Amino acid sequence: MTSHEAEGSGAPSPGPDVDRLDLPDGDLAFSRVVPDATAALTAALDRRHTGYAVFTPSDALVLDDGTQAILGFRDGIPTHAVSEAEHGAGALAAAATPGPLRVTLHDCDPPITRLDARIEPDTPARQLAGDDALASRTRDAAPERDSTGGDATIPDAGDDLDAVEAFLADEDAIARLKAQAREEAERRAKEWGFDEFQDAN
Amino acid sequence: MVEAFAVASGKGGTGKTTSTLALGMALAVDHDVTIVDADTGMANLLFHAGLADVDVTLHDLLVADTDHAVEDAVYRRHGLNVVPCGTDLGAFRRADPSRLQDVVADLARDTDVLLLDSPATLASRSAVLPIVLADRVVLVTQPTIPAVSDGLKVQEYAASYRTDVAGVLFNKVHDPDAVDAVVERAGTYFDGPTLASIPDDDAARAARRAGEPLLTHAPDSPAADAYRTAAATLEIHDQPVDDVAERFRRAVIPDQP
Repeated sequence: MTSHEAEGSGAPSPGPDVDRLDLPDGDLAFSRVVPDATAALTAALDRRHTGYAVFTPSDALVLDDGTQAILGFRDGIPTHAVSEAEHGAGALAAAATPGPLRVTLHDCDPPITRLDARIEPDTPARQLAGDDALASRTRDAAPERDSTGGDATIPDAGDDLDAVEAFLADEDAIARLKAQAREEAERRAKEWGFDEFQDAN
Repeated sequence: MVEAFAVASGKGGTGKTTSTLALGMALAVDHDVTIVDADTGMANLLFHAGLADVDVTLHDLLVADTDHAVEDAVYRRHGLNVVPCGTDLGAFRRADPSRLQDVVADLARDTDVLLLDSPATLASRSAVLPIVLADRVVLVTQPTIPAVSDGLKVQEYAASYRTDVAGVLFNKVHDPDAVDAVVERAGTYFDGPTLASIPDDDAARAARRAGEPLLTHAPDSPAADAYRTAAATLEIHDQPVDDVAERFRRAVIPDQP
């Protein structure tokens, strides 16, 4: 097994460079562009995926800017998250942009084990997919935390808020999100015949 | 004088219908309020307002050559006027959403505040129509990345139609103290004021199960208090009735959803 970092390195540290994570290739079990994260997280849960997933948002596909989130899974349950900038739930912000995502699932031994990358089982379903039903299903399927904390995630009330804070701290990403939505709205206004109404409102 | 608000979220599950009804009831203390289930494809309001058994709904008003007058689908409940959609698929298919604008134009003549519970999507012309037509939009979001993203997206759609943001409701807030900083930061990206943070409250779920509005079922709950705060924070900008009615009538005709 190739581990990103040794278990137990709990002290805060700079975020990882995804290209240098030295992740094993594993067996590619899923690779497609999906409209949102629900399909990929559901596939991982249903097939009890163990290994990792790479979430590449549409912006990164187009701009080739390397923004990705890597999620570690065990038996279908998300356990860890890392991005270039963050470890843990904050890393999810890298993939939480509107529009399609390219998602790959790699079957292998869990490659990310560091403590500060741990996430709640249901955090990706809520933060990446906004899917409360999938979040509930994932939490129900997750094992109870064992005494060593080895396999399950550590409950952390701040997990979700950390992800939201990281998302909101990225002013450039928010500006891109808003600009993209405005462009989409104006394009559709023309398609739907609302452009004339705009002028009259 | 009247002001029409679209209550919108861009995504489902944020508690938009609960919020529409609760905000409407809180506003009804000082205003004559009418709420309309403008999501004709997914009736919700009737269950929240205890109107599941009514005969005439908005769908019946949207049928060509309907025999029903608009007031036939207006129900006086909980201190306000409620115009629900029905659940019958046949009635939905016969309904022509392009007639919504005429119905709302009529409703605007007899009320101070119109709240349009809008579809939880931006994917079709009829789904976006309430945001286009309304004077302003009330955004219902949650302190999660998808919900804030979708709220910002609705804001940009609204802005492109020159519909301002009247305010933002942060709903289902699990730990109001812990989330204060997030709400404050998120609020800097929205164009309108934060109206309230609504705590995640078992009372809201119990009210839903009981088929009663939150403010009737648990008027003293923290969530009910927060909705009253939101109503007090929301400034109503009265518009001339004829202007609002005319704007609704003039709107382009949308496709079927």
